[in-house]
Parts: sequence; C-alpha cells; structure tokens
Amino acid sequence: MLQDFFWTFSALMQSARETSWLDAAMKFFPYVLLLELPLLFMVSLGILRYGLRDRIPNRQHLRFPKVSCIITCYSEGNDVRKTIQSLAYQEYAGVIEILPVVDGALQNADTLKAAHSAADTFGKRKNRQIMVLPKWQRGGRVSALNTGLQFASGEVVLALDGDTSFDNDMIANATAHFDDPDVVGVAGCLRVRNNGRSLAARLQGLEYVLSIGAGKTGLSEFNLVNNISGAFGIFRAAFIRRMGGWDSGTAEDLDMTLRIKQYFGRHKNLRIVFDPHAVGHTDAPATWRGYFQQRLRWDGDLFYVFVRKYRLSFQPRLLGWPTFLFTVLNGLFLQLLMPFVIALYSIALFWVLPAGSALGILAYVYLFYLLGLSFYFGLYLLAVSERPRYDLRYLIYLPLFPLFAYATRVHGAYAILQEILLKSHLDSAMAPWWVLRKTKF
Amino acid sequence: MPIGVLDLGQTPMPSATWQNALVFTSFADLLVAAPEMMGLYVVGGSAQGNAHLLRDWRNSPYWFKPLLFSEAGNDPGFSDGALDFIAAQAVCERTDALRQSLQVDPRTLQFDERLLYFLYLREPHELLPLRDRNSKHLYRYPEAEAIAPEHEDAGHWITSLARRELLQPTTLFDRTRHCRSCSSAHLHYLDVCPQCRSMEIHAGESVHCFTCGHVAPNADFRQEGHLECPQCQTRLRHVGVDYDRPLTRMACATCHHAFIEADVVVRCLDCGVEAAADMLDVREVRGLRLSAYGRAALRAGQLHDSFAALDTANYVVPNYFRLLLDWAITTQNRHKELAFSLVMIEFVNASEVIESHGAARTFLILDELSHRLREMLRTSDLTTRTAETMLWVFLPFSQGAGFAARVEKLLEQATPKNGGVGLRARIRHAESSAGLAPDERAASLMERLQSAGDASDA
Repeated sequence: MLQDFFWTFSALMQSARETSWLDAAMKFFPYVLLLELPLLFMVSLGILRYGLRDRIPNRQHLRFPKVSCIITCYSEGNDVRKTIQSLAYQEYAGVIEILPVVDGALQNADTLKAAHSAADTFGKRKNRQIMVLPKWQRGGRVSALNTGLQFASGEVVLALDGDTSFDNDMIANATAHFDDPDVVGVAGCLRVRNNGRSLAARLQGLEYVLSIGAGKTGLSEFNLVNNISGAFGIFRAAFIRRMGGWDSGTAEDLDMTLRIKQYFGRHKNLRIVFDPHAVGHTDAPATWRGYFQQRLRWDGDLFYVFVRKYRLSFQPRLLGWPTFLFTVLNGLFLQLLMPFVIALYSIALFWVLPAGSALGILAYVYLFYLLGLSFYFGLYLLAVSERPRYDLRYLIYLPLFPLFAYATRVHGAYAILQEILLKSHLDSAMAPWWVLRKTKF
Repeated sequence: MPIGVLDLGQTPMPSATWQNALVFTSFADLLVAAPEMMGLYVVGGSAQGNAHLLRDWRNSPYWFKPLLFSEAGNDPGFSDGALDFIAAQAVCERTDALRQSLQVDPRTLQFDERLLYFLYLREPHELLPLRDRNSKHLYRYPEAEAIAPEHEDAGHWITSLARRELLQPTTLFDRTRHCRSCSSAHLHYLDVCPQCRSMEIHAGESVHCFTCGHVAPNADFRQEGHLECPQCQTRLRHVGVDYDRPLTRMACATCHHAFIEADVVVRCLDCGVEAAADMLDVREVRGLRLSAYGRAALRAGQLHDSFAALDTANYVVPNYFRLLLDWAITTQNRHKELAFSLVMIEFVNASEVIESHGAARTFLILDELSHRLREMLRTSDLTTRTAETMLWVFLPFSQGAGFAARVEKLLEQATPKNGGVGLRARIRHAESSAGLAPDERAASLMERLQSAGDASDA
C-alpha cells in the first residue's frame, strides 16, 4: 500500500512538472477547478483591489446617525455584560441605543439580571441609552429581533448576538458606509474570541479569517457578499422595516440577506458592503462535537433557505445577473452540491483504486490546496488584516486546514441529506418547535 | 429649694399631702408669685389643657426645670414624665443638683445653648422625633420646639447642632427624602416617558405572529373582533399555537416613544420643582442625645474656658476655699489631731495643649481627668481653682504626697495615645503634720506652694 502511495504521488508530481498545473489538476478534480478556482481567483482579485484601492486615511465622518443595537440574548449570563460594555464604550460621537432582548426571560433569569446590571452601570454614559427588553415568552431569534426592531429608534440597526463583543471603532467604521445612500446592509467581520481554547476553536478561528475576513472582503468588491452573519449584521433601519423585519423560520440571517438581494434586480445601485475593519469577537464551539452540531444546523439551513424557501426567487429579474450567477454558483453548486461531489468522489476513489493509490491522489490534492491556501492567506495578511501580527499565529495551523475543510465538506453532505429527508430545520435551537411548525416552509 | 405643685383637680387634695411643696391651683397664680422652685408637679387637668401648660412652662423663666405629671392620663407627652410625687421630687432634685454643678446662667443662653442645657440637666435624655403630617419635614422634635424662642426654626438648629457633633444621633426612626430646592418632604412620584417626560403613557401588550415572525402592538392585530397579522394576514386564533404575547410595552402618547420601564420623577408639593428620584436629599430621622462635645461645650461656656471641666470635682469658689483653709490652720494650731494636706496642681503647658488638640478636645481630656480626680477624692475633700490652670485640693486627714503621686500617674494616663502634646503639671503639696509656721495663713501657705522650686515638698 505504501508503495502504491509513493508511486501515485510521485507520478502525479512528475506529470505536474511536465505539463501545466492546471492540466494536471483537471484530470482529478474537474469540478473543483471549474467552480472553485474561478471563485478563488475572483476573490483574490477583490482582495487585491481592496488592498490597492486608494483608501482615504482617517476618513472624516459626514454625520453620526443614531445607532440601535439589538442584542439577542439567551443563556449567555454574564457574557452579555461584555457585549453591552463593548458597545457602550464605542468611540463614536453619535447616540448608541443598546437594546438587549432577553428571549425567554423567565428561563434566562441570570442573563436578564446581568443585562439589567450592565444597563445600570453603562447607561449613564453620555449618548448611550440602554433599554433591556425582557421577552417573557420564548419565541426564537426572529421574534427577539423583531421585538427589538419595534423599540429601535436609530437610523442604523445592528443585529447582534449576546456572546459577541466588539472593537471600539466598530460602529464608527460600520456606520461610515451608510453615508452612501445606496448601502442597505453592512456585514461585520467576525473573529473567534475563544480560539485559544482548543484545536477545534483554533481551526474555526482560521476558517473565520479565511472565509469571512478574506473571502467577504473579496466578494464585497463585486457587491456579492454571500451572507450578513446573524451574530453581526448592520442594516439601514428604514429599509428592513419596509421589508417587514426578519422572517420566521431558522437561518434568519441568510433569509434576510437573500430578501435584500431580491431588490437588486430592480434597484441596481443597492449595495451590501463587508467591512473587514468593523470587527466583532464571538465564541465558537470549543469541542469537535459542538462544531459538527453547529454545522449540521448551518449546512441544513442552506438547503432550507436556498431550495425550500427561495428556489423560485432564483431569477435574474429579481436578483440582477451578477448576484443571480454568483448565488447559483456559490450557493447552489459550491455549498449544496459540492459536498456530495467530494464525498462521492472520495468513495469512488477508494472503490476503484487500491487504497494506497487513492491516498496518493488525495495527498497530491492536499498539496495543491495547501499551496493555494498559503497564497490566499498571505494576500489576506498583506492587504486586509487589521491585526496581522495576531493573525500570524494561525500560520502553523495552515497545514491542518485542508483536512479540516475536507471533513467539514463531507459532514456538510450528511447535514444536507438530513435536511432533505427529515426537515431538520423544524427542530432547531433557534426557535421553539411550536413556533417553527407554524412557518410556511 | 422646694418643688411646686399645681393642683388642677376638681377637689383639691389637702395641702398636707404635699410635704415641703409650694401648692398652687392655677398656673397664672404661680407666674404671679414667681417663687423659687426646683420643678413643677401637676395634679389633674386634661391632657389637652396640660399641653398648653407645658408650652407656657417652657416659655416661662422656669423653662429648663422639670414639669411632671401625676398620671399618664394627664401627661400631654414630651414632658418630663408621669410619676408619683416622691419620684417626681427625686427627679427635680437631681436636675437641680446638675444645674448647680454647672456655672451657667440659663437666662443668658442662646437657643442652641438652651437646647444643650436642657439636655444636660436631663442626661441621658434623648430628643425623640414626632411624625407630623403638617410638618414640612414630616418629623419634628417637640421638646426642642417648646423651648425655642418665637420665629426660631428648631429643626434648623438641631441639624446644625448635630452637624457640629454637639448632638449625637441614636436610634434610627425613619429615612425621609426631601426636595433639594425647598427641603420639603411632601413629594409625590410620577411615572413619565423617558424621552419627552410626558405623563401621557399607556401600557399595551405586544403580539408575536408565529407564521411570519412579526412583532407589533396588540392594536395592530385587532380586526373587527378577531386577531389578524397585519403582515401575513394569518388569522390568529389560539394563543400559544398561532401567536404569543412576548412582552408588555409602554408607549408615550405625546412623542410615540416605545419603552419598557417608565422613568420616575418626583414633584415637590410645596415648591413644585421636579427632580429625578435619585436626585433627592435623603435624610435620616434619629433620636438625638447630648454628645461628649456638647457636654463639653456647655460646661466650658461655648469652649471659652476649657479648664472649667475641672470645676465639677467637689468644687468650691476660691474665697470659701481660703476661708476654710484659714480655719483649718487655726484649728490645727490648737488641735494637732486635725491633720490636713494641701495639694497644688498647676498645668504648665496649657496653651500648648490647647494649640495641639483644640479647645474642645482639651476640654474632653480635662473632663476625663476631672472624672478620675473625682473618683480619687473623698466626699470631705474640696477643690478650687485660683487661676485658669491652677487647681487646689484640700485633703483633711490624709497625706498629700500619696495623692500627688496618684495625680502624677493620672496625668500620664490622660496623655492622648495618638500622639500630640501631653498635659504636664507642676504638683506641690504641703502637710500640716510637717509643722506650720506660727503665723501661717491660707494666703501665705498657698503662696509658698506656688513659689516652691522643683523640690516637691514645700
């Protein structure tokens, strides 16, 4: 087997040297290259453009709109204090209204208490208003966000998680984009706060850096931001009010992003911006078990939103051509189909070839990925990162990342399958079952 | 000095009931007669009538003297109590003794001094607050008010005395909140809109539609007798199945601000000023007692003469003292068995001590010293002060040397532990047993002691 492994691997390397890289790779992974390489190329181009763009340093604010921060709180307990504190201590001259919505305030009495004490401590600061909203009935994230929206009086609304805290220039950076009247949403840059806890958290930290910090920066240059994270989304309040607020069901963040994008076909100037320097720090699951459980929900929800809920919305007329093409490519093919391709390809490889040869091929693919990844990471450090020194510590974990991504993809196939067969979105921690069963999809 | 009795009963008691007492049947008669007496014992009369009597008494030249009643039924309260005649006499005697020990003329006192004096004579009496809805501060001190001259604000003086630590707080009765503008405690509390301060606020429930996730006030959902979601038009039939009520929200009818908790503002009923609830002046209503400083201030005549503290230890005025000493010397010449000693204590660094500790503290040190001194003296011993800092002790049938040594020790103990200048004294003593000059007189003996050098025995 070992002999097979080395033979296959060296043969592939040999062929790579004789022909072009592209040729060689095409033999084994046509789908990957057809779909993923152009995307990677485009994102890299976007990052490069971001890095090279003439950015006016210390851009002066034209105005300081009132900002309302809706924080959905559950069982975070004292962590809510950190979130409220980091918002109250923002370096921002305008008014910041902080609305911690404690969903199920009876069950989450600790969180309610912590929110009240934080309100007493930080609410007296100038231009900071804190109003704790105890939602006695648990009704899920959507109901919490919509409740918050009822009370929000700011021009800009932030939808935030109770376990996420923020850099003190976050609001100043995020609101600056709203000077442009065409900007309706800003996606914030999430980092993993507890990345030192375990290897799982460290690799998720790296994944956030690559897919959010780097990926969305590149996409934003082409107005193609795929998702405004639920833990950290910034919106023009009037716009989402007109849309009727958040819609019921799970994955309300992706749902909201897609619904905003449905205006792009008719209003071609509208934009969703990603700001890599509006930074929030959130807690990621520290165990592998927790990680895969979270992905089970996320990947399942992709199918729920893209296929069950919005399959009829995939029209260039609604989304505009660029967004339509991107969503079909990225959402339908890369995120929903690719996990199955990868899983089936792997199984076929081991079915057809001796184990050694199969591993040899995978090792070759791994090397190919690692190379691309290193380039991508380096580009991010140079062009985007606001704390490059800090991000450099992820470097030694880079060789592990392709394996991590591979496992995530294969698991994703399982998650999507479960959603297709079992409608797992109806059994989500995001809302109680008696609320979810009333939804239309 | 006798005790006065005011018999207001329907049928006056036979005057033989009141031994050694001046009996009157009306207060007017008493005031006209204006006799010297230790206090007044009132028999009979209604509580209401006696309340007037109490007020008149405190306004009379007798204001500081005890006014006692025969029964609890006719005691209007805040008097010196309801006691039987014997006990009342004892109270009056005790008060009079305290009055005599103090070299203070009650007629010359200012109001704040009057209050201290009043309490001093009744130690350890406490001024108690009375809840009164008509009072601006909700509580008042009736005893203090009774002895206050007209147009004087007793409450103001009491606050000032307590702040100067001349009165010492005791039991906490209540905590009151006062307007910062006029200090009235007549306030009322109002919940208002936190944004525009309007009173027009109303509570209303919210509805959360499960079907589309819309959350809005109940009124938005109400459609001709049923609930319907304004966003997705779903008819909401069953709470918990189709919808829930996540929270109760307050809405302002003036500015349309939505909120959860109303702000509370306080409006003063007297001056109309509005304030936030946490911006009120919080005061404690406590019982008040004369403090050590108050006692000191009173004895020192407002801290002028700190050394007056020493005058409570078997004190006689200097002339009497000299007379007595003369008599003792003459008697001793004839009857050698009448031995006596004379001790002189001169505080040599008085001004230094006052400078270091302040008059009040010095008074306390001396007060403590005089207290100890009193314990050392026998009832037959006498003291006087010829100069501010010069104390003389006359000790019949005892040795001056031992006494002087004990005083020396006392002085060491009286030195404040926390540093500062300690009290130093020059102590000299003379014994009759050591033999006196044939023509010795009190003046010459005292002069000899005063001018004696460091040799302790003159």
